[in-house]
Amino acid sequence: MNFWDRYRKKLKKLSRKETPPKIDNSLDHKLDTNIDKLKKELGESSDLVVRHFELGEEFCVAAAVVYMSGLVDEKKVNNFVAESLKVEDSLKKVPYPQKSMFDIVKSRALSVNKVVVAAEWDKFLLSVLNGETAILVDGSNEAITANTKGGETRDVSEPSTQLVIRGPKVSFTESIGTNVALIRRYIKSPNLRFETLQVGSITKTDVAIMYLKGTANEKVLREVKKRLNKIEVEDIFESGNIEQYIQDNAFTPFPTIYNSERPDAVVGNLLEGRIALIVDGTPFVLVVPAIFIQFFQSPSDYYQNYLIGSFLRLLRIISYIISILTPSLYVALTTFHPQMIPTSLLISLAAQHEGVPFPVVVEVLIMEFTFEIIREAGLRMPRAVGQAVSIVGALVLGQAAVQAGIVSPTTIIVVAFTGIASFATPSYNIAVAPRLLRFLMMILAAAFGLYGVFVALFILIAHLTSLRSFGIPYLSPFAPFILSDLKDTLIRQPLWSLVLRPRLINQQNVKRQERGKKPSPPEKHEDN
Amino acid sequence: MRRVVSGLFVLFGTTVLLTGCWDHNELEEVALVMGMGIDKTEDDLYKVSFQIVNPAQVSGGDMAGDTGEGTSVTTYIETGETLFETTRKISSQVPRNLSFSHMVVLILGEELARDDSLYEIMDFTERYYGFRPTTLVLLAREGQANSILSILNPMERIPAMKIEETLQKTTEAWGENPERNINDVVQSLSTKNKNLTLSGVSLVGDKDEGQRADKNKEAVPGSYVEISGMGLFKEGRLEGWLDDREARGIAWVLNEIRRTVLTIKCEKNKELIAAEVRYSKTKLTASVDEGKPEMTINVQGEGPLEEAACPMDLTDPKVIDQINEKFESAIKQEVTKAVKIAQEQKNDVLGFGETISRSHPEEWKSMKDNWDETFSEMDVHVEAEFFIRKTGLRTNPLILDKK
Amino acid sequence: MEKAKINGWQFFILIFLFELGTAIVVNPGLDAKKDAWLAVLLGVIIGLVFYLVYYALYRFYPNLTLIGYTKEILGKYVGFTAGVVYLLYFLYIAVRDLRDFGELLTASTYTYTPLFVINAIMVLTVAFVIRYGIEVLARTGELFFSMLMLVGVIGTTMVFISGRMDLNKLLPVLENGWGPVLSTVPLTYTFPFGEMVVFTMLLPYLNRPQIGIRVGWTGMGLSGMLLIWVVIMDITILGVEIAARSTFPMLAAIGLVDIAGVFQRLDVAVVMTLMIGGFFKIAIFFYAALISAAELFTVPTYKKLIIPFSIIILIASMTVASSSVDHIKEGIEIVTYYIALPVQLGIPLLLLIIALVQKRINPR
Repeated sequence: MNFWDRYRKKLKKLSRKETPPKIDNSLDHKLDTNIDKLKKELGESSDLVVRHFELGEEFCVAAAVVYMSGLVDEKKVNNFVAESLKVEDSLKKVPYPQKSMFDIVKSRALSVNKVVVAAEWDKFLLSVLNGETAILVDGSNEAITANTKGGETRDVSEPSTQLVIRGPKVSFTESIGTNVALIRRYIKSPNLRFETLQVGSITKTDVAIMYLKGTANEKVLREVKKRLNKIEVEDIFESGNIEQYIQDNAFTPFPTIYNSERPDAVVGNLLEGRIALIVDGTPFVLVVPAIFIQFFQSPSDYYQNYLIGSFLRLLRIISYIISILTPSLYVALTTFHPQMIPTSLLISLAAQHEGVPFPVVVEVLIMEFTFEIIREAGLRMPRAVGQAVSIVGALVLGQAAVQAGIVSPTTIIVVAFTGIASFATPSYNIAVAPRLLRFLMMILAAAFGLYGVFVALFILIAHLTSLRSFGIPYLSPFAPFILSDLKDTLIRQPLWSLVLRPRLINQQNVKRQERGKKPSPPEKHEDN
Repeated sequence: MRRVVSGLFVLFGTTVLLTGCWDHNELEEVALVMGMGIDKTEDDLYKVSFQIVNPAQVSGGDMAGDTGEGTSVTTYIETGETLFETTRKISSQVPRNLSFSHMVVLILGEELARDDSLYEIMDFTERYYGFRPTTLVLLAREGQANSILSILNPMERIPAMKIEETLQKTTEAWGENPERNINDVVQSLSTKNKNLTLSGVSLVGDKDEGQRADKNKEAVPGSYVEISGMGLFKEGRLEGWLDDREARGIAWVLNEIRRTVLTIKCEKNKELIAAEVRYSKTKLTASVDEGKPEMTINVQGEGPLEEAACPMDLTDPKVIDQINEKFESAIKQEVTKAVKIAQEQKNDVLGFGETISRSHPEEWKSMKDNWDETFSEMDVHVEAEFFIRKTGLRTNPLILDKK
Repeated sequence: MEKAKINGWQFFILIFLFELGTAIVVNPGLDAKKDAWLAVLLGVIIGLVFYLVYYALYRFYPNLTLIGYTKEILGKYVGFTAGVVYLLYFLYIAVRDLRDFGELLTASTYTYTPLFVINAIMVLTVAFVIRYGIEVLARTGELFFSMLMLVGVIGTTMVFISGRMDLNKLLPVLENGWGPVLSTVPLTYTFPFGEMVVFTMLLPYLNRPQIGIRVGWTGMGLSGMLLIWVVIMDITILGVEIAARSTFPMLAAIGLVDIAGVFQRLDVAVVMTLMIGGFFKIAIFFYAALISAAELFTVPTYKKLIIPFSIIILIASMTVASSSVDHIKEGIEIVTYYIALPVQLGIPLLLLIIALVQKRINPR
């Protein structure tokens, strides 16, 4: 029991007290009452458009079209209204009471896509806020709503965070519909399912759970739904918010949920039996369960020769290890174990360090910290300025620091190398973890040399093995060791040899292709 | 629970960090000892000299400062009753902590080697964690170790490394001088007979002149250090020196020839033929007959002919066979002579005792107490095989036509 | 006991790392001089045979730990006492291994660092990992196993390349007869092969009981082979005289490797690698002590005991011996004959006999 737990309990109590008072949750028969209520609830908002008109000649029935400007596609609205209100002819002939007027409009409206009848006030309100257009007819306590969502959205463009040399140049957009379509375009299978739910008590953000039925792990799927339903928060803006609510262990710098803005990456994962979560309003799609090695797989690995793909994969993993270990090893070796450095190198290190006012640790810490600042500054600046920042930071600052004798050139080399190595990781969110860990390891290395580094490694690896992503051990297939899953980890074996899907991710529909499909030149015939 | 543990960890960590890092040494706090020389003073104290690098004078690059002004190394001398004492006492002269982990040579004064001090020295180098067991051990021939260490040298900026590299090179290319490190010496001292051979290093020219850095500007240095001879130890004491072919004979027996050059006279003329031994292997086979040990030494070698000043038809395999035989007898002669010297000195540096104890452990038990005598009287057969594998870029010698 | 299952491969790795543990650096058996490898070989064989005792007990009571079935076999009070003996034994060996480890580090590279600090950090690390439970420990083992193998293969290759091994140094075999070898065997059996008794606490976690024997034997056999190899390496590189005089022979042997002046002074790296074995040995004993205490005193979760036990182990590791000489002497003379043999062999054999008799009299 500690402070935080108590604080959380308190919050829970608070939320329980605030149960909303029972309000009348139905539409009124009178049109004006409805319109007034709507205007009042939305606070006379100026983007609410209400268009009044009358239907019929003999029995003039008042009706209104309601929508939020900006959220809708005006063309679709006009189309919808025009289609559903072409009632004039039929009305002329037969005088109908008000009640049936609604039915006529409804039957007409069906020709437009996704028409729903909303009887509850909540549903009606939400659909208007969602960018749908509603038709209210006087005398009817129901509303006809149609999906006229539109407004300003970004076009499908090239991915900006996960670049590949070869592969589709498509990335997700902020619109959930587009994103689902992008995935559908890849998987033409009736087994591709998606379920939508809304998260966030105020933002009501659409979240789509997408999976391949029969391939995805049912247990994980249930778990995902359970966790999504457990979220009780007002606002969800981005998939990152969801991620923080549904991950297994919050107390870790390592991401346990994969995200991507590349449809092909997400599709690949869906086919392996994973589950995608598409959140409206962000191009970053979440994929669960995620394992450590997954963050080092780039879609382009699969598009090129497997030898090169494997080499690049291995290179990324090595550079990741470098980015964690190099500075601390440098500190440990120079200050604790100079005997491990070859003599001539040690002499030149000592010569460089002659006259530098700081101990090696402090030197490295200063430079690492400076590097982090430069990196962050370069990231936030407009693109043109960002380049200037990095030039000033890297060239001028580094060069000047060396010439002024404040740091030794080797330190600059070490820090720069570490920095570059950390850029080689294809996933940003796992590449940031070492940035934090590095400092910790450096301090341990400065206190205990290699022993400190090793202790840190032990703790780090134990921590990693203890992590799980939706029940799947994070470091699988290394620990627990699964031989058959190793084919697509440190190296990528040829596509034809990847016969089985990863074992831990899914247990059903394991086979993804037939064995023995290795390509070969045509068999020689004797008459040739 | 986790927070408690991690909290404790952080708390403990910070305390540890604040109280200090015990084995932590900044680079500029360390004095790298490259060579160490040990002598004895008249009042039986150790006189230890440490050759310490001045990194800024050695290293190239921008940061190295003004190279060429100071000396690349400085040699400090300290005396004390024990060796360890001197390594700490020297702090009154050197402002840094001595680090022996990169030391390449340990040079023992000749006088010191003639008494029992070798055990004490070797125990220290073995026990003290700072030493590297692969540090080479040499004897300062006809002189003091400290004077050897104080000679500067133009080609290799660090004199100790020059000595190390010269020894390694000559052992590899010429074979006369054994390359022994601390561990080898300790191993030899742990055997029953405590016999071993060590290379000598001696000073040529004037010591005072050699200490100055500016003499390095001469093309022909007036004073320098060279590897010379092989010191023979018996029971851990230096007994005598061997040079040239005799030393190489010992090396043949010990199977320590990696490469060397054999020279023979052809026919009765004075002209010479030289071949490089590229590969050689020596096998010792012991046999015991009625309590009397016998030893067979079988030397195998092969290599190319590199110099031929004889009027001989080198395209003829028979001629080559004849030359082979001559080389074989040359090897035999060298080995026999070396064995004879060892037997005269009653000093089993050849490791015959070890060989017998391995192959005939039962018989060895009765022999070992009187081994020196047995050794000096035992029969030794020497066999040699040599093959010329090629004759270089030409077939017949230039001189062939002159005939 | 916590709710966890470990598979055969993980169990094998735990055994392997455990057996290598500190034995690989300290190298028991060098008292038998040139025939040390024979002594270790006999130790392995005896160890393999007596592993059958532990395995038989486990098959009789597949869901119980050693603590559980001693109570079952010996009755409540005697069983409890026997349980306490084992608890103390596990704790004591954890303490000894921690001290071994600390001595190694302070003798080789951290000569000025207080033993207490080295030990304290190790205990903290072990405690941190154990808190995650046996599954995480086993999985961590899988990763470090491959690391150890990698270092082992590279190290062995380097030793070969450096050409310092001289197999002649092993000759003649049995120079002084079987006497010295046989008198060393109790030592090589009890350390480390008899220490397998601690796995009676872990066997119930095995997911398939029938592979217990296979996994145990391969683990012990392979690690025994590796220990023999290391002893041979030590002797052939260093010569038996130096090897027998060294506090840590393997360290001295690896220190001699020098390839082209670049790969040299590998001993520090080796020390760090040996940390892996030491870590797992301490961790397994620590864990066994924790779960036996939890079972004996019916503590709901062993995690509550981690902090007090850490402190006990740490303080005991400082006070168990006044000097490294004392520590080693104690290990060879007292622990082997008065502690290890009865606990590793005597009590389990007795338990097995009583259990067999009980089964005969009262077959259920």
